[in-house]
Amino acid sequence: MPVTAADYGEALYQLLLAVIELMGGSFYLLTNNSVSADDIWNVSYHAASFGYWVAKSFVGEGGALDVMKENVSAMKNFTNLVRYIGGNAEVIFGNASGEKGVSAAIRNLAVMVDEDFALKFWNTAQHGIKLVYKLMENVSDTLR
Amino acid sequence: MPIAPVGEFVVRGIIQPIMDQFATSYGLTEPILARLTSEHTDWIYSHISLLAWIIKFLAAVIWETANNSTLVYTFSDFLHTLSVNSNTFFGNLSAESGMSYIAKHANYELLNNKTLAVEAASKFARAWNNTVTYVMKAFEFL
Repeated sequence: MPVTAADYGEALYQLLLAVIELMGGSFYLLTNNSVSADDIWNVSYHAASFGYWVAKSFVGEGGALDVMKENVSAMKNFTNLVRYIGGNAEVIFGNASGEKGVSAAIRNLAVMVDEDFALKFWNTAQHGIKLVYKLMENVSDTLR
Repeated sequence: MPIAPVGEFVVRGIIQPIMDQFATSYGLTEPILARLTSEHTDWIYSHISLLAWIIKFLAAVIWETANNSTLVYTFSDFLHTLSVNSNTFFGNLSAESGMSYIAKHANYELLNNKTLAVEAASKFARAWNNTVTYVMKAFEFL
């Protein structure tokens, strides 16, 4: 039996819940007193520097997007994508009543949200804020 | 002692394999998109479910670590080791060392070699176009 929008709603619910649990666990672990804020800053700064140089080749001046807009062959692929999505927007993304495409899946996801989901969401937000406090307390020692 | 010029290394060891990945990506998805059936929705559903369980597995490992003092100490030790070596491993904004050094030189090669940059951008756009269409087709059939 083919899967329905309700099945998609449930799969997306599980995916979202898993992401919230992973983020909550990571924030909780990093706020532990045994984990040094200096180490978190140090690794974050150097990893972000690497990310900057990688992103530059894609979105920076002379990067893939910049070259694409000046080259007909590369631009054709991008135009095809925009044309496909634009020409089928209602079938892909759905409509206000949530009967088609992504909207139908999200409609089924929305009705599945329960107390457990909301509790995990706010617990994750709380751990996230505590981590931000921990890093900001340390910011004047780290960035001079 | 240098084993290869950095420009040659980044072109042959970094940029070419990434372009090959893009070619593999559209090479696989283009023939599938040409003969797509409504069962494609089931295929993408299974992939979303698989992804959810992989993330749940990682979340379980993180929560187990966070609630066990020995594991927190082990994690803290790992983070500290990564921290003291992060300038060597990742490098920094001036990119004189680590992976940033390689990424910076890959960027320089793309800036200085127009033919290579156009080829990379075309393959990137083609892979991106086909991958997005491949996923969105599942919602079209829903």
